[in-house]
Amino acid sequence: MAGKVYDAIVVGSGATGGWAAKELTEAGMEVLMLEAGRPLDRSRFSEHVLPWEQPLRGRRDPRDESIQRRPTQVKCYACEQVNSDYFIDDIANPYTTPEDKPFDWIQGGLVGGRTVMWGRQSYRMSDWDFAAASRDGFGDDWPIRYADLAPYYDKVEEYIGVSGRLEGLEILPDGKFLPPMAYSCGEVMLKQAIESKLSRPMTIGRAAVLTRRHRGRSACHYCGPCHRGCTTDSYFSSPTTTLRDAEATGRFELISQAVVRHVTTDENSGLADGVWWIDKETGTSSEAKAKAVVLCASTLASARILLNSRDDRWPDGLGNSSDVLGRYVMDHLYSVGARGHLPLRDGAKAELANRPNGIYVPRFQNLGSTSSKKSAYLRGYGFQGGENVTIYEHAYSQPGFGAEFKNRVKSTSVASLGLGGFGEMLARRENRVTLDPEKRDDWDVPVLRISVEHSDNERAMAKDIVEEAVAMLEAAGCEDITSDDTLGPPGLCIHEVGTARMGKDPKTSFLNEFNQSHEIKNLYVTDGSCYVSVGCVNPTLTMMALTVRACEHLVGEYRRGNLA
Amino acid sequence: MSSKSDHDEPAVRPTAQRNDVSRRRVLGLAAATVAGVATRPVDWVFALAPGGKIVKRPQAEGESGYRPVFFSADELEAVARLCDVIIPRTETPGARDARVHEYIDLVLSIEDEDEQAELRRGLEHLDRACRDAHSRPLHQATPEQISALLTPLSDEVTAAAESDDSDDPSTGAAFFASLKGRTIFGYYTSREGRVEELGLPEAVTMERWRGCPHDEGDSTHGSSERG
Repeated sequence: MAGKVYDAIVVGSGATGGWAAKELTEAGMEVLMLEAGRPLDRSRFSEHVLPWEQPLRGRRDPRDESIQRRPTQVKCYACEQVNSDYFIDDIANPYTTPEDKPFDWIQGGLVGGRTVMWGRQSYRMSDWDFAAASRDGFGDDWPIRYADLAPYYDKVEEYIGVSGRLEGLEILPDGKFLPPMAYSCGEVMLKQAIESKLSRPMTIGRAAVLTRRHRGRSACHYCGPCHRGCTTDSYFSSPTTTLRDAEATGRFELISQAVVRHVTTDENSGLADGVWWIDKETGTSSEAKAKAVVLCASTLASARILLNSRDDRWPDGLGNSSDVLGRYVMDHLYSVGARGHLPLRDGAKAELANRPNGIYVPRFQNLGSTSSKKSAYLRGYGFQGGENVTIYEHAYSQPGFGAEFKNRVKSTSVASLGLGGFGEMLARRENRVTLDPEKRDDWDVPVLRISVEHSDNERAMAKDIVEEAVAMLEAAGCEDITSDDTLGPPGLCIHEVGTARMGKDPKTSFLNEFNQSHEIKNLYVTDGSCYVSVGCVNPTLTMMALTVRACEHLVGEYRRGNLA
Repeated sequence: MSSKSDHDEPAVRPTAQRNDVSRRRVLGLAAATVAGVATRPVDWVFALAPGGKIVKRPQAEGESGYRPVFFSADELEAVARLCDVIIPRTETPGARDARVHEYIDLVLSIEDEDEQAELRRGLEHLDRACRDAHSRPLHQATPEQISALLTPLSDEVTAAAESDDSDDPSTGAAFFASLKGRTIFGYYTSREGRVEELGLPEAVTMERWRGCPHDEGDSTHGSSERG
């Protein structure tokens, strides 16, 4: 690559980076991708490792160095003993927070980023999200509307494969779905109850998991732990799809273990002309040159690169004349909800297979044309959850011991329903990341100081989430209902967005509606950084659709010579 | 599992020279696509690694070869006898057959000192009770003798669960509750517990997820009335 000027450099190989690589190379551009993580080794996929094949049966070993180096990452359910090194090394990659504002930053450590172990739930945002500010007066609208993004949602869904059910709901636009997964007995009871008693629709989760063979990838075989990798490529991840397509063009190079420190600019033109990156193996620094730079490093990592790109011309971060860079960080409200026992129906048994999906209750609050019910908070939330039927876990609450106890465990099961709220966190200017004035990572790059906290709106919404979860479980006939009242710290939902919001006005936004820097026309940021408001649905599908739209714009500008 | 050697081991060792990033570093994507196997997802090779094989780890060596890492030999034998009374061999294997005591020994070795001390205290407490009642140490007690020791402890745990009494449980009852929980987890996550006792398949790979079998449920995996 020495001396070569690429058409574009893409930073990050996850959901959005993969799409950028695919779209740009297929349009004829020569692309260099830089990824901080290590190569993905498919022989390490461990989804079929059985409990008794793990000495600690799935428990994390605190003596294990890989676990010891990931004190933040292990807060994520998906970071297990067998796959902990799919996640970033927290010790080598620190960040700071104010003491009273905890933030859990969960990051990928492999080529493919977090698509290797993501949650796979894939929903479209609606104009209730894109134009939320126009309805309730808080914050700003997006510069685009649902109609602008719909064709790109179509394209992404048709490619990645999303199983789901058409519902015809304005709040949760339908997509191009593969056949839906089935409901369990208890979920049918919940659906009937909340639809008839509370007039709330429920649908099966829309998941980027194949229910039939799709574009050369096999259908799901329902083994369960997708986050350990999938030997049949049945859920979407960038290494098995978009990156493979990019590679097939012959116009793609990917360098792993490459930490991008900052974007470089041409003194004369003021345009971006490449990136400065550090080889993790050797510690040596290099410059890579390109005619356009696309940041897909993830919301906080892209903001960090832009902040670290400060120079005399841009003392507050590259392209940051608006002073919005790093601001308006959002995540979803998480870990609040309720669960309860459900009478087990005749004929209902624990499934032997493991459905990698749940149910979804779309947002129902604050949807009145004016305000039918005066709510204590703005915006809304959706519920994800489902039924669990125990295989043996009820044994813990069975009295006694001995042969009779053993037979009782075998002949019984206990069903329960759980509902967890995923709520919109408001975009607040003071929730921001900056560069820590002192701390640096293992490659001597200044790290982020993350200062993000929930506000009264989030706390009021969390309270309502719990109340409504309990009400729905009661409607379904649940008993012994317990609630989860404590909001998880921001970040732990791993839906962090914001930091380089898009907008029409360069004074109040960092990117234009095509994810292009207002100030530096050959600089694009297409990950979650561009979000104006987070809505309440899982963000990855929307990020991918935005990336495809942005790349279409980039290719057009490139061909017209407008990026030089 | 040889987790140590697996960790932090790049699949492709880069030739790390400045400005000489070989395309092998790039993932070995090219090898797969050039070879034309990209359309066979199961076999598709990534990063020059042998892909697509269901990982099977060898079983640990037999019981005779197990050397306890937390318990003494006598303690391990005592725990084995206790576990085997909690989940005995019937027409299917019991806890000792499933080597639950070995699992408990291993797990205790990674737990914090307070938990270790509490369990050991409970074990010593029960050993003394065994010597008092049956004139022999716990590791030599018969199933009947152990059952007689555990029954009042189990009853105490059950009574506490049924009342709102929040008094601290006795040392013996707390020990029983802890050991029972550990035995349940160790047994039902073993091959003997899951496959031989519960009759579940060894490996869960299904063509479909069945769903609700009742009329109103949509168990038609491949179709949707509107989708």
